[in-house]
Amino acid sequence: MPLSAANPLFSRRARGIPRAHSLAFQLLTAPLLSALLLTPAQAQSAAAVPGKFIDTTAASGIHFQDKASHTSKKYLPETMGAGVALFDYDNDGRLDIFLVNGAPFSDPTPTGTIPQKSGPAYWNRLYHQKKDGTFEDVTEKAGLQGTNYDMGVAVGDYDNDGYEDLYVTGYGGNHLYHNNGNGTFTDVTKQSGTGGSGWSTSAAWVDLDNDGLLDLVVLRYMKWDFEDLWCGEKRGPEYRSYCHPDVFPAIAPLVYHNDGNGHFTEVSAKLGIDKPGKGLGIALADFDRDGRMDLAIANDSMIEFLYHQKPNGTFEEDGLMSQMAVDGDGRTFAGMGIDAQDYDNDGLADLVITDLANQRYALFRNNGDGTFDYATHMSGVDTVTMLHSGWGIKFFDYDNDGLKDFVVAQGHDIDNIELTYPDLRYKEPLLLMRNMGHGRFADVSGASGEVFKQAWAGRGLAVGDLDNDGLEDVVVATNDGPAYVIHNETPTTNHWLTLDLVGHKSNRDAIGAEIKVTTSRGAQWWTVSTAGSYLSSSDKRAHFGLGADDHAKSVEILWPSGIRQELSDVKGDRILRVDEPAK
Amino acid sequence: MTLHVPAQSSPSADSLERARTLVAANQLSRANEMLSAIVSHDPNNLAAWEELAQVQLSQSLNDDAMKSFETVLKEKPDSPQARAGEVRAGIASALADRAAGNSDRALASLARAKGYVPDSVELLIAFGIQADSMQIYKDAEAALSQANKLDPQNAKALYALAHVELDEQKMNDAEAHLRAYLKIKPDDPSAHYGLGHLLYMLSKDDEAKAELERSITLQPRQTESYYELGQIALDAHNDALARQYYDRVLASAPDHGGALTGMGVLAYRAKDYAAAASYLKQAVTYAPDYVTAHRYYAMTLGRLGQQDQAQRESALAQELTEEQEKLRHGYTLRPIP
Repeated sequence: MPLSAANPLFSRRARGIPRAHSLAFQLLTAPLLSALLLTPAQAQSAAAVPGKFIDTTAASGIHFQDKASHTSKKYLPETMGAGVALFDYDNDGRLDIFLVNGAPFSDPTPTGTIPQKSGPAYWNRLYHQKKDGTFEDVTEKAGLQGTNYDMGVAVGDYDNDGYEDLYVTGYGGNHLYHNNGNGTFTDVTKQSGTGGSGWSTSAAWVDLDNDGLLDLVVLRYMKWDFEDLWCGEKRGPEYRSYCHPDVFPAIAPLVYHNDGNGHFTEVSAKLGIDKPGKGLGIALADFDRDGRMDLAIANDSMIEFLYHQKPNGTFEEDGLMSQMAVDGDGRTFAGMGIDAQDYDNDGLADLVITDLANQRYALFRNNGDGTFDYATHMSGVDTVTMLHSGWGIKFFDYDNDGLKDFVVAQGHDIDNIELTYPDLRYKEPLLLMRNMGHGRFADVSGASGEVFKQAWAGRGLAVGDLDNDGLEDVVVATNDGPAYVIHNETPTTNHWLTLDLVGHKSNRDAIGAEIKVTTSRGAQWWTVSTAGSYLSSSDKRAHFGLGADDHAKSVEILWPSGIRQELSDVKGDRILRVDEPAK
Repeated sequence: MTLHVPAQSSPSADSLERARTLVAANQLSRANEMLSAIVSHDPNNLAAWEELAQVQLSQSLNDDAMKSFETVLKEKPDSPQARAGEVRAGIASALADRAAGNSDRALASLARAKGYVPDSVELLIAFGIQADSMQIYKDAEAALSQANKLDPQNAKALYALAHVELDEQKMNDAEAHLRAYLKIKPDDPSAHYGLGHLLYMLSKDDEAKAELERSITLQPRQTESYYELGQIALDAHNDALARQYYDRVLASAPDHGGALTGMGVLAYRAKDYAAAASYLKQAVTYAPDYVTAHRYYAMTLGRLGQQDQAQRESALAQELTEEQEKLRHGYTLRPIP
């Protein structure tokens, strides 16, 4: 047999292992998969109830265009995209939308350059929602045009004045915008001491020390500059590619303690949240139920981090021992987006992390003993996500059945990926995974609306009930493309309850509060947070599907202050403001 | 230039006959000398060229043989003997180059031969396999697809085509061609294993199990199939079944790094860290490049309080991952001059 050497042809393995004594088996392979494997229709089981989502961008009044500033040099920020925030900046009861944007690069760009926005095309944008549900651009009035090549956004009321403030991250420095309560924001970066440095990505507001003031955790991606590096195959210029993260050194995050006087102090080393990583996504929850907030960080192409808070208020990174740092095969993956919520309603916050094609999104089920099970295979997530690359991801209950589903903004990071992997795509449709119960998920994208057939370079994603109709909507930011407003019109008779928590002893946003809602079908839990996803910030209100019940038997809230509150027979199908009691 | 086949009565014809006699007597060196003299004296003597080429091929002077055959093919492109000889010489040359570690030259020889004999299924397959091994997937696929088109029932072409499609991550195509191969060779246990492995990677676990079990039926000593079945059970958290399969593997291949790792993972899950360490220590010895083994060994050592060693294993796992990522992505890095 000429040349083929009578080898076992399929000696390369993805999930398997090389047989020790056979060289042929030591060839590592590209895991695989073909995008065409599973059409959504095939993936959907008979019991899977699809959603109905409509792209309402055109009618919404939002005409946003992300400027990634692609160059021939393939500078990495070009492909990383930007985020979106859903928040009510003027307290009119309707969510507004903030979209982050880039800045121009020259081609080539000299090293050391901090790109600056050069005009309105590069502005970040704030869209105010009007009474009729459409949006108006109020960027200039608000003073939120931005400065740099911005990427991420985090929403939190850091001074507890009742108005949500904004933290915007990016390459070359970050900005804190204080909400003045009159439709304008003031850039308080300098006086607050939160400007940071390097390349920042996702940020999270969280009261780390439970002093009633939101602190700020800011991830940084890597040590990077505008060096002219050629990555990819050398077959021709069209094969030039974005460099793999392994090429660049990791860097520690920034952690700002809120001093309470408008000033923050950087305390990453003091708190032990200073392990160099390649952070892209952050989620928070009390994973070990010890009453202290923990942090989960999605790192790109290295181990994922779980910062466990110790009784003395410092943190210990324990991802490996917690079994969420790597996949079930012990392999690292390109962690990008992340979310933490309790998807199996056992009272323990679980994790989901997006990554690149051939890696499968990582679903980690919390065992309650300080460890997580890699549940990607058993949940059905593996089959669906093998060929997809995910960024923003959020748990949400799109059909109000009491089980948390999730939605993912997708697209590969390499814009010429089809040249080397014909079955992969730079632009991909959104993915909607329905929680089928018993730890299983099913892909219902194909039957949930035409919007799930549009291919985008999806990046940031945020979830929130834009029109307060009891069905959570989705907004997606795309790389060098428009932002999309996706309205949830799922036909369902299920009931719902949205809780808008207002902290008094705790931080006003109640970030970190744990809510347990019990219906006739059982209990479900939610940790209040605006973080999670990728570079984005979601509606802080806690949304629960009640299924057939028109009321919740009970609502139990564990506030960050430690105060416990219980409400009984809470009527559903409404947004209920709940104030933190005095004790 | 007009070439000709010399008349039987010419001096060249006499020499040619004498050369053939030498060939029949297996005196190849002398035959080579005589034939070389003939073509040197009479470069248009195609019969001599053809005879010389065959002698050179017999002497494993593959490059010389190719040149001689090509001299004939330039004038007589349809010569069956020259075409067959060029194919044999091209493949032999490539095999020798590859054995010497010169893949580029191997591929060049095949490409050159392919230029003269573009419709040889055998040559197209050889070219495709060589190109695939050099990660030149598009050319490999083009050659193998052409071979498959010329001879749809050629099992070797189907098998090789499936392989390159696997490398290209065209999984549907790979599956289709492997299934086509199995229609021709339904009792090939390796191919059933290969298909099972492919389906396993596609998370089509039930179909994968059927193929793997079929391979075992055909060849009960298919340890890789048992191993793969163990992996499927491990993923499904069917730990007892996984253990049974790994035991089967280790009974016949006690140094199987994958099965040892699987046993280590099972012990780790059961929180039997001493047993896990024992299995995983063997696994990293027998499969030093297997990241999974190192990672679980690191986690196990951490559980056993051996933090320094755990960190070393973890760092090693990360190094291996980065090396393998480079291979997988095929990326290179260089500053622009």
